[in-house]
Amino acid sequence: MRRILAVAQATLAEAIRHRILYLLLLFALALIALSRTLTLLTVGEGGKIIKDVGLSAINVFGLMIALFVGVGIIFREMERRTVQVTLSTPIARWEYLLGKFLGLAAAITIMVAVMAAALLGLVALRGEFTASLLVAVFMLWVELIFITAAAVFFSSFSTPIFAALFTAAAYVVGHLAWALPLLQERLPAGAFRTLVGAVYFALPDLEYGDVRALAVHGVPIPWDRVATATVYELGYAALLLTVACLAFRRRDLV
Amino acid sequence: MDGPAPLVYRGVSKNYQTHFWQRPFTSLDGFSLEVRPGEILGLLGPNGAGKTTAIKLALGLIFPDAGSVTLNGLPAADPAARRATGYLPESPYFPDDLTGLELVQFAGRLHGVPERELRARAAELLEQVGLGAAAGRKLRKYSKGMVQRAGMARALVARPRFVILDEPMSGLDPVGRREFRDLILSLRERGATVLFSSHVLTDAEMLCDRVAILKDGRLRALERVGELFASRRVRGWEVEARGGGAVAGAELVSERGEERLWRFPAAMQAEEIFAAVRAAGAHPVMLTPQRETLEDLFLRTLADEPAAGRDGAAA
Ligand SMILES: Nc1ncnc2c1ncn2[C@@H]1O[C@H](COP(=O)(O)OP(=O)(O)O)[C@@H](O)[C@H]1O
Ligand SMILES: [Mg+2]
Repeated sequence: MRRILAVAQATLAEAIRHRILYLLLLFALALIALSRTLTLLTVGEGGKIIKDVGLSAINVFGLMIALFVGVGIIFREMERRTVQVTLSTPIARWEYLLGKFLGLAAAITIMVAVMAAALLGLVALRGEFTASLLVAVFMLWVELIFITAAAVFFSSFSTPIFAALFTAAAYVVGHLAWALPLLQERLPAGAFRTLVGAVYFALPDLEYGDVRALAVHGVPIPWDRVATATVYELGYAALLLTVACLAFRRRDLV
Repeated sequence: MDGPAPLVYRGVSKNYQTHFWQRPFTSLDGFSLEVRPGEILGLLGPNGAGKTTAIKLALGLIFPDAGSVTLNGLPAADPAARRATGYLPESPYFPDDLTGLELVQFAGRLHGVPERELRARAAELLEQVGLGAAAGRKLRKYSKGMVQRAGMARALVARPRFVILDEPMSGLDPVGRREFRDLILSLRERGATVLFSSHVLTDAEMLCDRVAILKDGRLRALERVGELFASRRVRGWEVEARGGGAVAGAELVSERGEERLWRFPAAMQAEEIFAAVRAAGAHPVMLTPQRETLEDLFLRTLADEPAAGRDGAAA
């Protein structure tokens, strides 16, 4: 446990030293602040615009942080072989991967918290704070944890460039997967229909957990949807990490 | 000193697949070696001989294609096998955002050194390798030799009973080499076992109890250095003589005024040599046998066998 925490702590410290992190954070905060001026252009819809822009900023910049910093840190470790130095101690490979994941997840959590604080503060100033906004931020965080797990997963067996591409692809696919059941319904029964069903089952569906639209329009978010989506995405993340540990267990570190 | 062998290789082969369309490259081929407790064993060989490959196998960083590697009585793949083992990588690269102190402390945590002892121990080790003043500076600002020293402090943080050093002397100045030599000897005095790789023979000659010579992934020789010195073959004689003319059967090595140095073949006896010198009208002053050095052994070993049975040599 101490070894996992040591790796997590070192990873978090390294993430926090990344300059790109502050650049992204600055952009996100600027965007959230700017959304206020956008409200001047429209009448009556001001709160919605701030919420919409703010949640999107957290989503996009959170994703970029997970990609650049998450994949970047693992990239550096593999490329410069510091991973070998770490793994020459009595740490197990799964402990190392788990520590990396936890450190990155902690960094993402801090970033989301800072961005969310800015957004919630702005909305609260206008007296338009709703619980559903908080829930939407929580669901964005869950999704970013999933993306972080995907970054660790792809990094455990492929080269860094591919890991970054695959991780980005996982995000896109995750948000398009919802279309597969619709496609499946229109297909005649048969092998292809079964295949489409199977593919949908295997792919992560991130759209189900995306409750931004509901939060923006102030619609209460059903708790069962939040619970199901959280368990689903974190469960999927746990599965990815487990497979990553298995793949990394016997990998030659040359 | 007895006890179980810290490291045992049994018929270990390792192939690297560089590209999937190429035949794998054999870096280690049927390699067997047992490191004995308490000894300093030098793993020698030219660049590309397989030294680093052997060391990475011991640490479970890579896995053998054939044979087995046992570290401290456990399979090398088992993390617990590395508990009492320190490692200094070849031309190490450490996260350069860390200070020397943080580097050593991080390794200490992974080795399970209690937190309350860790800081003092790390500082003490850095002091010992001559980085006392630089302990708080970032590794980015270290010279190559300083990184090497920090790596040595890192390797020793768990008070290891077995220390594996991959080319420990590289990047060090003569003073640093001397200090590292003393440090390695002090490890043995403490009862630790040391395995180090090198392509520099003088280091090995001064330090090692035994040397293993590798070439093209195969073990070519395994010798006790002490015995090497005791029973080293005579490869010739040198005679210092004063005056006289050319000496029959000898080769003139150097000449300073009246004093000349002559070299005779190993097959000649001392009496024959003196007779030959006197016959030339010279006075013999000193006769010294020219013994084989580790370098001679090394070069002879490498010249002996051609690299046979090795596939993918073109890779
Ligand atoms: N990752 C790798 N991929 C392909 N070949 C490698 C790799 N690492 C080492 N080799 C090859 O294996 C041989 C042994 O390398 P190494 O063990 O590093 O030698 P040494 O440490 O004795 O200089 C060399 O010919 C080297 O080119
Ligand atoms: Mg080497």
